[in-house]
Amino acid sequence: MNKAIDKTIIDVKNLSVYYGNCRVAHDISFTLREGETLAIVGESGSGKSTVLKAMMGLLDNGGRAEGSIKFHGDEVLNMTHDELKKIRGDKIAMIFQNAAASFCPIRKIGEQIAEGIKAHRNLDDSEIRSRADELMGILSLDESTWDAYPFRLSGGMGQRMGILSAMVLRPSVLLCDEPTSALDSVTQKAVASLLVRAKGIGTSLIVITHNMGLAHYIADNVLVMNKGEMVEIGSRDEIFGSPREQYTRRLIDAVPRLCKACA
Amino acid sequence: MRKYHALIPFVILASLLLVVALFAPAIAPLDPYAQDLSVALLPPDDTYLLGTDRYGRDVLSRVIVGSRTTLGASLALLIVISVGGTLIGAVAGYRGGKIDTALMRLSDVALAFPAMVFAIAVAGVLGGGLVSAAVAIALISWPKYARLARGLVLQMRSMPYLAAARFAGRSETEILIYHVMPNIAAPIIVTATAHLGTLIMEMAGLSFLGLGAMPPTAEWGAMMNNGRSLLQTSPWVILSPGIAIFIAVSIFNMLGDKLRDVFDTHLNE
Repeated sequence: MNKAIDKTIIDVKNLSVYYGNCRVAHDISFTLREGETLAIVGESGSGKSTVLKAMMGLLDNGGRAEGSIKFHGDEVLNMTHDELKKIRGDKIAMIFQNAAASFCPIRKIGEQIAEGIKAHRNLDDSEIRSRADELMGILSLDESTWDAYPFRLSGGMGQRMGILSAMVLRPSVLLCDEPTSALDSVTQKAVASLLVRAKGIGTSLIVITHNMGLAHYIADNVLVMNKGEMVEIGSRDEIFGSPREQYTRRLIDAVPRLCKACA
Repeated sequence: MRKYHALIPFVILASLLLVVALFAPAIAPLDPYAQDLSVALLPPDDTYLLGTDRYGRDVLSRVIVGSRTTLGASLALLIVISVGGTLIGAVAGYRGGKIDTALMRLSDVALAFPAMVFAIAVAGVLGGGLVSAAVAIALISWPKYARLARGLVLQMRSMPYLAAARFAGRSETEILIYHVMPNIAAPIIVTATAHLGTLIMEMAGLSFLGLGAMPPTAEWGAMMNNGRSLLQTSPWVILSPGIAIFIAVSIFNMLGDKLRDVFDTHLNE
């Protein structure tokens, strides 16, 4: 473990999330260090995305969070809108579950990405485009995609544009909410490789997924959730090699595998 | 593409109507307000293409100039109602909670009254005149847009692009203006176009009852009122503005229907 990986970026302690009187996540604690990837796994409805939303102050419909979420030592739950605005999209970026749907359907994608960049950096259009072009090359996206409307893109292209939008400001933390759930297996692999690449340049990742294969492929640490509760947390090898909890074992055993004859 | 073609004739007809309304004084062959009792109630002929009314005024000129009053007032009213109602509904749907409850109960109150009876009562209390008629109709019509906008915003509230906009640092007001309103505009515009026909009838209806435009203003409803007692002896006096209302309402209703077809196609895509 090198010195950089010891540096804590996000420290979540006893986080609980409520919608009215209904508790949807309870007593969640974890730490994310620089360059590290944490996968939060569990079934659909286990509260994974809720934790992510709470971390970024994106809870809607009267949701509220209790506990502590620290980003570089600053308490996120006490931040004002302006303070959150400074870190969201710039220092912390997010890839949404359905990234194509994270673009406003009636405006061109490039226009929306540029707007997000301009909200944080004083860059002119040519600088923005050159940054985007660099990533578009890596993501195998055609240049015309920049001027396309969201509904013109396939699921994979939309997802890759979502990733581009999140990564173009080179954030220190990338939050990924089911980044591969809507994709075919080939594109899933490409997206996973890209996330590994981001990790390689020092970006810390929190990946929400119910895809245990992706979690195994990408994560340093894994947090298992069930019905809003934290089941267990540990290194990837601990969770996949010797899970302590029955629920974790069930999750791992439920992964479909190719039979020996097919493999 | 075929859907767009179906739209073209109605766009042309509606534009034609609006152009006539806009340049009415220049288009009208005679002075619509000039009285000459020596030519009163003349049937249509070469000089007076649609005949004259009981004061000897040229009916065609009055129908043309009346289009400006009727269409202009209806269009202005439509803009106020649709923008105001949509804003109220969008804020209610987006903010939710007590604001939503308060605004929607207010719309329930407005919807609880029989529309025309309420409009007649309000116009009666406020006194005659186009403004009174417009206020009366606005009071009963805004919930249509508020309800529609609220429903659309509720559908949209959980869309990822709103969360993404929030994440990118947009304030709630900016999200409402730049993301929510443009995305609900299409169904609102379709509804408003079809509603224009209804508003023309309502404005003309109040004027017909003597609660809208006041004499001698050339306005289709008021002109029909003026010709009411002449239906059997000089039917052109009442039929001319009546047919004008029929044509205008039909054009805007059909334009609304065709617009709906076009936007539905986009949704299906």
